[in-house]
Amino acid sequence: MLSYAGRRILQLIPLLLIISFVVFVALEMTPGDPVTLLLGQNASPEAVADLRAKLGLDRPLVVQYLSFVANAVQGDLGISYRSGREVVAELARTAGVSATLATTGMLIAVLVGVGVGILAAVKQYSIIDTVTRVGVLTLVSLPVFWLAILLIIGFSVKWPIFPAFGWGTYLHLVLPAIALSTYPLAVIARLTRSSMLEVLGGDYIRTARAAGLPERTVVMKYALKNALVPVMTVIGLQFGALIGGAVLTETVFGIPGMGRLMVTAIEGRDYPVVRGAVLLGTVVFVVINLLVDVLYKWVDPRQRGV
Amino acid sequence: MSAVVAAPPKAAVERSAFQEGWATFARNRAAVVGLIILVLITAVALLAPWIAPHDPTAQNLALRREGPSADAWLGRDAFGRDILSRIMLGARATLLAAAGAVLLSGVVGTVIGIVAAYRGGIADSLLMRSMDLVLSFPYFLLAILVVAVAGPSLRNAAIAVGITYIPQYARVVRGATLEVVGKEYVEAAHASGLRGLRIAIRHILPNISAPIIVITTVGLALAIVSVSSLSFLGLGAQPPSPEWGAMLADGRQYVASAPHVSIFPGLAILATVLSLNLVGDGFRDTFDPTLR
Amino acid sequence: MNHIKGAWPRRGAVALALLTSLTLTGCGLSAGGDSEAAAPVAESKDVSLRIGTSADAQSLDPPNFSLTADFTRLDLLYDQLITLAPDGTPEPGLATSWKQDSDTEWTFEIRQGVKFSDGTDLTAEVVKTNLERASKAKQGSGYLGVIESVEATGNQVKVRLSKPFSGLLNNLSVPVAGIVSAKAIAEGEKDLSSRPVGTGPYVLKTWNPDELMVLERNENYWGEKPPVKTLEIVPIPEASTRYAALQSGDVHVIENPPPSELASIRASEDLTEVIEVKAQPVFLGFELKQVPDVKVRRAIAMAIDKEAIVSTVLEGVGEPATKGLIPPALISPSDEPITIPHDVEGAKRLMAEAGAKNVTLDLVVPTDYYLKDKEVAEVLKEQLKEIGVTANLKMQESGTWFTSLLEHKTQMYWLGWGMTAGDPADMLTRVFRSGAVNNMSGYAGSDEDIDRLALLPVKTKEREDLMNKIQRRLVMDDVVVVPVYHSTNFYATGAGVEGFHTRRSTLWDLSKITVRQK
Repeated sequence: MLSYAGRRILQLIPLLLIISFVVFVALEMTPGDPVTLLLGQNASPEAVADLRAKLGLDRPLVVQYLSFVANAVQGDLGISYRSGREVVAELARTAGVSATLATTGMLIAVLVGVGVGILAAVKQYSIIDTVTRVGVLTLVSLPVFWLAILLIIGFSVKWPIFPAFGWGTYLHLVLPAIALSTYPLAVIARLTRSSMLEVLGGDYIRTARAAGLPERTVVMKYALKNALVPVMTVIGLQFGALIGGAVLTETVFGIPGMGRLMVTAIEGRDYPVVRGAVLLGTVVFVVINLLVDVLYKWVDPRQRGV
Repeated sequence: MSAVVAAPPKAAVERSAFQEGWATFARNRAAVVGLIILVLITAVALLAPWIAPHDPTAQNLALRREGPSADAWLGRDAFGRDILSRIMLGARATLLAAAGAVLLSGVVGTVIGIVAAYRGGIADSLLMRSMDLVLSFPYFLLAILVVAVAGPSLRNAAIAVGITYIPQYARVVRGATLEVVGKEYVEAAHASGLRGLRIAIRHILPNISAPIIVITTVGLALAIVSVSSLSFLGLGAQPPSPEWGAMLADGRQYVASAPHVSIFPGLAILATVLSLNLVGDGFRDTFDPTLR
Repeated sequence: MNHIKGAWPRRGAVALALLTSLTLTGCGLSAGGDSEAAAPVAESKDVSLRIGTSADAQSLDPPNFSLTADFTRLDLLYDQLITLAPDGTPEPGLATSWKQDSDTEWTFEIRQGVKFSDGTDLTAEVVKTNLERASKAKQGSGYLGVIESVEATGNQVKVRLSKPFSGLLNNLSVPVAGIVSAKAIAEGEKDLSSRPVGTGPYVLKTWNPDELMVLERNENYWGEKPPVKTLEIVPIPEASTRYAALQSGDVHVIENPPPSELASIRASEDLTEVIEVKAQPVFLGFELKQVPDVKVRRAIAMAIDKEAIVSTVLEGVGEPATKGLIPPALISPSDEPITIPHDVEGAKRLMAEAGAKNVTLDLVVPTDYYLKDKEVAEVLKEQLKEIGVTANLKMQESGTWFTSLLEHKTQMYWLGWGMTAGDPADMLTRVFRSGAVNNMSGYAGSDEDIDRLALLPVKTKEREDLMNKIQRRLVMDDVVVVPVYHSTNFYATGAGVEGFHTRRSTLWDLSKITVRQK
C-alpha cells in the first residue's frame, strides 16, 4: 500500500508540470495585459516597458516557464503583481480559510446526505423516499449564489441570527457552509440510497435477515458498511469540486478564501497568484483522492493487493 | 438529449426489452412528472417567439421592477421588460447552452471512453491519464479560465462547462464498454472482419446507451446550474438576449425590494433541473436491474 | 482551523457592551441620568466605525498603489506636501509654504516637528528621498514623472521639472504622493505594501487581506485629530450582501449600496444615503478612424437621453452631463452650454443626411466597474436602436476592457475618468492629446491648446476659458465623446451614524462624523 501511495505521489510531478504549463499558455492567450492593468490610466509608455522587463514578461514564454519551475521547486511561487506579497503567503492565508469552509460544508453534506440516503433506501418508494429525494434534488437545482443570498436575507436581515458576511467566528461559518454543502449533499444522498438498495438486495444481507438478526442491526452494521464504500470515492471527487465551487460562496459572503483570491487574480491578470492557486488546488485534489483510494482499499478487502 | 432518447434501438437491443424498460420507467411517478414538465418546457422554448405575450427586449423604464400585473403576469425586470416573455425566450438560450455543453462533453467523452476501452494498453492509460488531468484541475476554475481566454459569451460558457464534464463521460463509457467488449456478439463481429469503427457504432454504442442516457440527463441539469453560475460572475450570456442564469444573476441585486425579478427565473431553473434529475433517476432505476 | 476563534461576533460584543453600561448605570456610576440621551460629542471621542467597501486595498505603498480602493486607505495613513481645500485650492500639508521660482522650479518649506509612526522625524531629506522615489515608481511616475531633480537644504526642498507643468501642486496632493518614512524605505520597499509607515491621522493595526483592516487613530498626529478612534474596514464584494450587512447593523457605513435600494434607504428610519459630488465624468467615446463621419457621431449624441439614464437606471445617483465633459464642480461655467441636447427626430434626419443606413457599431463596456455599467449599456443600445444604429454590446471584465480600449479595438467605448488631482487639464492631456497612451479615440484636434494648459497657472480664468474651449470642441464640434453623466460618491449609513462625508477625489472625510453606539 505504501508503494502504491508513493507511486501516486510520484505521478503528481508530471501532472503538476503539465498543468502549470497549460496555465502558462492559457494566461498568455488571455486578452488583457497585466502591466497596463497594474499601471492603470496614468501610466507612461516608459513605465510600462520598465515594469514589463522587471516582471520578466518580456522574455519568451518557455524561458518564463522554466524559471517558474526552477523557483517553484525551491518553494518560491513568486510575488503577487497586485499586492506585492509572496504568493506562498497569500495561499497560506487563504487556503486555511477555504479548507475550514470546505471541510465544514463536506461534514454537513456527509452527515445529512448519508442519513437521508439510508432513510430513503430503507423506506424505498414510501412518502419519505419521495419527499427526501425531491428535497435533495431541489437543493441541487438551486444555483449556489442565489441560495446564498436568500440565506443572508432570511437569517441575517429578517431573522438576525447569523452575521451577513465575513469570517472569524463559528457563527460566520454557518450560512456559507450550508450554502456550500448543498451540492455534495445531494450527490451523496443519492449515491447512498442507490448503493444501500444494492447492498440490501445482496445475498449476505438475506442471510443475515434469515438468521433472525434485527433489521436495525442488519441495516446499520452490515449494509451500511458496504454501502459506504462507493460513497467514499464520491466524497473525494466532490471535495475537489468544493474547492472550486467555493468561489461563489466566498464572493457572496465576503470570505477571504482561495476561490476569491483566484477570481480576483484572474481579473487582475495577477499571473503568479493564478498559477500558485491552480497548483495548490491540484495538489489538494490529488492528495484527497489518494487518501480516499487508500482508505477504499483498506475498507474493501476485494480491492486489496490491486 | 432528445436525439439520444429517440434513437431507435439497434440490432443488439431487443424491442421487448425497450418496452419493458419503458413500463418500468412509467411506474416511477416522479420521473413521469419530470418528463412531462421537460416536454412542456421544450415546447415553450420551441414556440417562444409565437406564444410570448411581449417583445422580450422591449424596455419600458417607467415600469421598471413593477410587480406581477394583468399585463405582465410575472412582473417586469429592471428595464421594464416582461419577465414571462423573457423566461419563454430564455428557455431557448438556456436549454441550447446546456445541450451544447453536454453534446460537446458527450461526443468527446464517449469517443475517448470507447477508444480507451477498446484499444486498451498505452492508448487506454494515456487517454485516461489525460482525463485525470482535466479532472484534477479545480472544475469551476477551469471554466473561469476557459472563459477568460475565449471571452465571455454564452457559447464560450457552454464550451467551458462542456470541457469540465468530458472526464465523467469518458470514465463511465470506458467502464461500460469494457463490460460489453467481452461479450460474444462483439467478438463474433470482430471475427467476421468488421473494422473498429463499425463495431463501435453497430455493437458497442447501442449496448452502452443506458449509462450514457443517465449521465446525460444529470449532465444537462449540472450544465444549466454551472452556466448560470458563470453568468453570476459576468462570464455567461451577454445582454440583452435573455438567459435564465443571467436573469437570475442580474435580478439578485433586487432580491430585497423586487424579489419577483429573480424568483421567477430561479423557479424556471429549479423546475427544469429538478425534472431532469427526476427523469435521470427514473432512467437509472430502469436501466439498472439491481435497483428494481 | 486558523482564523476561527471562539470569539463572539460583533452583535455579541455590542450586547455585552450594552449589558456593561446598564450595570454601570445601575450602580450609579453613570454621570448622566439617561445614558441614551448622552451627548454624542462626548462619546464621539472614542468611537469606532465599521465601513463595508466593495473591494479591499491591495497595496499600501503610496507610489506603488494598485487599485483606486487603495487611495482611501493611503489618505488616512499618509500625508502629502499639499492638501486640496473643498474648492480645489492648494493648502499646506506637510509643506507649510511654497513658491514657484520659474516655469520649471518650485521651492517647498517643510513642516517641522512631525514624526512618522516609526518615531523618525520628517525632514527635507526625507521629502527628497520620497519625491525621487515617487517620480520613478510604478504609479508615482504617472503623476510625478515630470520631476527631474530634487535638492534638500535646511528645511527647504527645491524641485526641478523636466518641462513646465502648472498642475504640480495638484499632483502633489494625490495619495500617490504620500510621504513615507525614509527609514522604512531603506529597510525594504517590498514590505511597505503591507506595513505602511507614514505621518497620517491613522496607523495600521491589523490587516487580514480580503477580511478586515483595522486602523487606529494616531494620537501623536500633528494636525486635527479625527473623532473616530478605531476604524474597521471590511471588504464585501457582493452589493446585496453589503446592503444586508448595513441593515442588520454589522457595519455602520457601506460604499455603493445597490441604487435600486435607494427608495427603501430613504424610507427607512435608520438608514441615510450619502450622495456627494465626485470628479469623474463617465462618457461614450468614439474611435475616430472607425467612426469617421461626424454626422453619425452627432446623431448618436442626440439619440442619448442622459436624464433618462440617470433618473432610471442610476436611480438619480449621478449628475446628467449637460454642462460638458469636465465636472461642473471643477471649472467655472462656460457662457454657452456645452452639450448636444436629446433630439431623436433631429438625430434621424442627421442619419438620413449622412446617408447612413444599417449602422452597426461595437460598444465595449466593462462589467461592474462603473455604477450599473451593464444596465446603462443596455439602455444605450435601446436608445441607439431608435435612430437605426445597432450597438453590438461587448461586456468585458475590466482587465480585458481596458486593454481593448488601449489597442483601439472598438468603435465605441464606455469610459470614466477620475480626477483625483482635481485638475481637469490632467484628463485632457492624457486622453485627448495626440500620441497619449490613453487617447482611446485617436483624437488630434486640440494639441496646441492642450499643451498651453501646462503653462498657465491653475485656477485662472485664462486657463479655465481655454479648457472650456477645448471641451466644447471635444463635445460639440468634433463629437469625440458623449459625456453621459458625472459620477457621485455613493454611500449609505446606518442607525446612529451622522456626518459621514466624502471628497471629490473619492476620499473619505471623517472629520465631522458622530456615532451613537447603542
